[in-house]
Amino acid sequence: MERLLALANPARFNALVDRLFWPLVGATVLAFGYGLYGAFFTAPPDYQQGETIRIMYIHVPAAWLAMFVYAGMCASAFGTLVFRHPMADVAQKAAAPLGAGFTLLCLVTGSFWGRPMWGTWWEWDARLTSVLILFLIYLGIIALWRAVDEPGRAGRAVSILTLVGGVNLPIIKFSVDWWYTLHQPASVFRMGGPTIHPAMLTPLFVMGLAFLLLYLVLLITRMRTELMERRAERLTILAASRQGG
Amino acid sequence: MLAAFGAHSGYILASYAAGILILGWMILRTWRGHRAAQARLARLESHKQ
Repeated sequence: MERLLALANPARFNALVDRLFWPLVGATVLAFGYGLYGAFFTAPPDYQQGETIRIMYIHVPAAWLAMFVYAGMCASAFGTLVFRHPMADVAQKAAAPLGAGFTLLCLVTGSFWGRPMWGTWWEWDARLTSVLILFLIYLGIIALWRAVDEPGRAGRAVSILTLVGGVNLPIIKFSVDWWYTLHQPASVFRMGGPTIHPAMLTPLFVMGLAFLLLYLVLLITRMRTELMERRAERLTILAASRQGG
Repeated sequence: MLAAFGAHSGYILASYAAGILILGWMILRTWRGHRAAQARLARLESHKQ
């Protein structure tokens, strides 16, 4: 907690980002290289789905990140409302478009996977619909950030919306257990362990790590951008008040 | 190489192309936003001095 509070100072945050940025970029490139090599060259075809299983290595990490980013935004929303941590709403604002991007990728690749395997691009089943709702919530959050000028007020309004939308996360996760769905049940994060062969599981986890690292690189860059924009806004107001006075 | 992935290679290609497009767009937007904010802040700080 003390470390988190120390990062409330933007100068300390920037110093930490300076140290972490390039190592994170390097690790991201390596993870994508290794993950894609595994996905295309070492992972075997599935005994039922054949080569189409290779879509899994991009679809599933995108789905993980879509939910992970939203869970992080819920934590930031809590930090904004309860602890009034000054970096919490910066993190929330920076994360929302990234979460929307991962969710869109999950929906699009799911559609490309569904067509040859299920015979349809889209089905209004519980898993697909709840992920679509997640995407719409992300768009709502981005729109709300843009609608309110003052960052403090926008941060509080967005935090409430984010926490309300958080109800959708367990619905996404357990939709395949609670309802009869076309989407397959959980096969990685489930009681009793993964049901996927290690030859497929390893590249899947490496691609998941690559997506996570890419998210971190983009998140810290966007947080820095937001801090610079807020400082620029203060300087503009200061200059205008000097001219007016 | 794509032919090696069988009858559904088009769907596999389309999925990874979507990945390149969407992730590439996220990277580009982040980078351009960062550069624009840097330039704006530098301009304002030089005016302040």
